[in-house]
Amino acid sequence: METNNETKRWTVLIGVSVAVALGLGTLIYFQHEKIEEERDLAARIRGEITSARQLIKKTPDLVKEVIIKRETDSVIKTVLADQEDINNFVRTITDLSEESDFTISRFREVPSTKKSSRRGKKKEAFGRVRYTFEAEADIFQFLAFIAKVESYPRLMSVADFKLTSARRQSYDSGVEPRHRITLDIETYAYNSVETQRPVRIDNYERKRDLLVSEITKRTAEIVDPPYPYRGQQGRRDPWVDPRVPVSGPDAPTLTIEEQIAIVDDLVAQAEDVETRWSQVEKADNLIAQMRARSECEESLMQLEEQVRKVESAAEITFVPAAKRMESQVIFVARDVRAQLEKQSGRSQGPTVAALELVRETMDRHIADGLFEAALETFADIELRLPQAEREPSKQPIVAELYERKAKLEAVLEFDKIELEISGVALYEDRRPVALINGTAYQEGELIDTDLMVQSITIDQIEFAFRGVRIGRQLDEFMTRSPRNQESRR
Amino acid sequence: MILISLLPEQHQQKSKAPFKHLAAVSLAVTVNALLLAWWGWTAFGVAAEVRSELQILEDQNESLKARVAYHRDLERESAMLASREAALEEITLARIPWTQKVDELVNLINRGGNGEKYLIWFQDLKVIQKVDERRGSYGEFEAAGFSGSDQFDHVANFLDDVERDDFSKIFTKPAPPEGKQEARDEELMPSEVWSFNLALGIKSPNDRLDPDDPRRKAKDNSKKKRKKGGA
Repeated sequence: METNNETKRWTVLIGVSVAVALGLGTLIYFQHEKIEEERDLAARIRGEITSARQLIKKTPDLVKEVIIKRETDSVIKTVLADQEDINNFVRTITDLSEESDFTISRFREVPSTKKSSRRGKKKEAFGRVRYTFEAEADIFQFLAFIAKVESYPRLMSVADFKLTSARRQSYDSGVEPRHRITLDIETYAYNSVETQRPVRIDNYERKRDLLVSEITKRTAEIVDPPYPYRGQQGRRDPWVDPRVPVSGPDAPTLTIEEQIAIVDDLVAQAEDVETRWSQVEKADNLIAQMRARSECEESLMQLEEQVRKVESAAEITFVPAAKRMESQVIFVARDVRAQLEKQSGRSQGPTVAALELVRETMDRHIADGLFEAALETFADIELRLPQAEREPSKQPIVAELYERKAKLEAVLEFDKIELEISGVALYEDRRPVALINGTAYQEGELIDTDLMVQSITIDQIEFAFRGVRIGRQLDEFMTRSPRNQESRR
Repeated sequence: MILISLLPEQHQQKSKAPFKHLAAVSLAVTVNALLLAWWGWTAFGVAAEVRSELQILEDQNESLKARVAYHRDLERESAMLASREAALEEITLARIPWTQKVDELVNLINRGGNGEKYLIWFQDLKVIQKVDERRGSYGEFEAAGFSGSDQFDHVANFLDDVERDDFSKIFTKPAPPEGKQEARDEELMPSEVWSFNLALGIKSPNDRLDPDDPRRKAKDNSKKKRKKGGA
């Protein structure tokens, strides 16, 4: 009985011990589980902290980016506005067309069509407004207009366009060729999704000021810079038939080959002038520069003289040759002349050689009766004469040039005076008499304040006009076809 | 047989606990004591340490949350501002500077000399920018032209120049020269004229960009990534 109790007692004791051990084990297990959970949580939070720290590390750069974007956004909003503002769009186009002589005759809105997108259903972030314009213009007016459209602050694009060239008959009759042009112009409106209010950035102004250069750079990158269209520049319109008629008033006196040869020669001379001008610019000392300048001036004057001759003869009728002459000769001569004029502000004016060349050219023109051409030659150098006049070595030539100019002007002025000579009477013992404008005048008598009859001979009357003696052949007056013949003394 | 001790209690021999029982009890006590100690160590040592570390981390995380939220707000604002910029870029990429292109063509034609190389003029010009991405077509540039010469090779000279010039950067290669001799007009110089057609396809916006243009590089890279992803 005792033993049984003892066994029972021990069994209970062991059972209790095992139960306690199991309880403790369970507690330890759950404790470990909890610890593991907390460790996992800690690891997760640690990960969050690491990624948050990494993210925060980028905040200063993000702040910079947002500042730059905010500042450039105002520019972007000008380029890509929120509103379609169609009335203003049409008004702008009208203004631009007027500025470029692009005569719009009709315009209408093109109904918007849904543009297919690569992703099919993706909605475009912007809306389009498209207008079709019908107009008349030459190609350079058209280019001037679309250059203005493409460089306008609000984004506009030239979409489709069609040009039909002017009929040959229209410009053969002397009218400027105007092509028929139909073009579609698009402008855009941004489909705004602005829900985010601007985040507050501490010391915004100071930070923005530090980013000025980046803001400027980014602003410049927003839209590609517009193409710098420089106008016609002596080029021919490729939509105008350049062929010339073989007969008729515009018929060329020279063959195309001859015209080309003349222009080729002028182009070669213009290239020579350009080379000489580059030598003036490259000259490393004053003496070399003066020498180069003198050579350049001489070449330029010869070229200008040649151009004047060709232009007055109106021999270049072949359009490509004429355009080439304009762009590669006249344009170059004007440019070099302008450069020389600009430089002459700091120099001593034209050289003695250049002055002598002008004098020779003027004399040659006078001998040929080309008084206007002689005056044009003088005009080329006139502005620089005051500088040359300051140098004693140049003074006599300058004085001669001014004298020639005064005489030429007098001769041309004299030509404008209406003189009707009915006849002359020569007597043996009396002074001869000329019947001018119905009045009889003797030698030495004044017809007008500046005009005096100097001498009368059988075939010529010599007048004194503003200090210049001008002889007129009598038969020329009688037939009413005056031909100027100057005789100076 | 059952043995009964009849001796008075004080004289009776005390019964001793067997050794194995004692050992078992000792073992149970030791094990339980060890378990208790372990539990105590985990509950008051490890767990407390982990909890305190967790508390510190939670505090740290909490303090960072405001800054993260600020960063996220900035990101959202940046994305919003970027979307307008992206829309603008999409338009500018698709936009062709026609002033430049037509001006370049005018230059090109005027470079033909006085007709020694070629004397070209056009009757019309048609530009259509109709996009059909499936066919890889982005529009056409067409002009009916004339060459004022009795030699058709002047047209070939012109098309050679077109191909080489900056003008054709945005266009596909022109079709080989084809033309027709027009009726001789003795009233005009030159009297002999060949007619031909200048037809050029417009390249895709991406191909129109310069190969070194960062926008083109970015687009090419994203295209490659898409292809890899698809594969």
